[in-house]
Amino acid sequence: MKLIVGGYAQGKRAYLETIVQKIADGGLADEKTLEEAQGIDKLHLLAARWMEQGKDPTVMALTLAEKNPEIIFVCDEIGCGIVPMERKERGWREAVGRMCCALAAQAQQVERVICGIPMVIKS
Amino acid sequence: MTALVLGGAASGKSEYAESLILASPHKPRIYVAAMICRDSEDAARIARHQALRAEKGFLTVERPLDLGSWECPLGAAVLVECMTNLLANELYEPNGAGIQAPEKILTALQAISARAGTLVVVSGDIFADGKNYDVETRQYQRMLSQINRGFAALADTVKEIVCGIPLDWKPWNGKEGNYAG
Repeated sequence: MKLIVGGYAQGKRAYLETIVQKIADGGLADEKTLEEAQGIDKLHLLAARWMEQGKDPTVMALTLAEKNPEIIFVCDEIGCGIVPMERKERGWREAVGRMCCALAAQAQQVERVICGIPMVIKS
Repeated sequence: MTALVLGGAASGKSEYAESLILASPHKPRIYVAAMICRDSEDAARIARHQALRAEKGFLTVERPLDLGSWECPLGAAVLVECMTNLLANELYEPNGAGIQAPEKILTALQAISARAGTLVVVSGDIFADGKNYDVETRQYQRMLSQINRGFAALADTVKEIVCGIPLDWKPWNGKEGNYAG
């Protein structure tokens, strides 16, 4: 399992497309598409969908990685701003951060993309 | 050794900061807590941090305001968490330092670093959500940056934590052995 993180619009998706072909959109894809994908983009949106269903994003993402050990997750970094006023938004931000820490701890490789340039921060 | 540990929300910065204290040869281990508990969400956050620190042998000192009034024991290993709270308290609490807050906090950190064997300061990265906030919030952001930059200049090492992984913005070349890995 690999994890790619970075801020909004930094070229993560374009980078992912150079590595794998079968990419699922975390904001839209159904369960089957997610399980069959080589790469899952917008994991932060998938986390929000899981939370809407009362599921823990960390557990869900780790389960996907267990089923598909070659999976590549792509997630926006969303924690580097002012604490949101909405409790729900704070909870989502917190859950995405914890999920990424847990994935990074288990990942063979973690990359961070800025200006389209991937930097390996764990290998 | 003095270290600045920065990161976004839930980036793993606290856990990393604690690991620096645990790796340091200095004792006692002191946790200086800046947060004021205002509601159940705060209480849950504090409980989570207490659980992380449990059995790591930390003494806890509460200093939501006036960090400079605390006299650090000579040679201690000190973890101050978090600048985001300390600044908000100094800036917005009625008996806080107001606009003098950054200067007052930096002076206090300097005094602690002169006495501590190891000082690790945790601060937040709250600068990259691309939103334009009201004047007060912008002032808070600038003040936190002033503290971060001021302390980074005097710190031996500065680490940014991303998904629990430390990125070395200011590598440490400690003569007494590098335990800030």
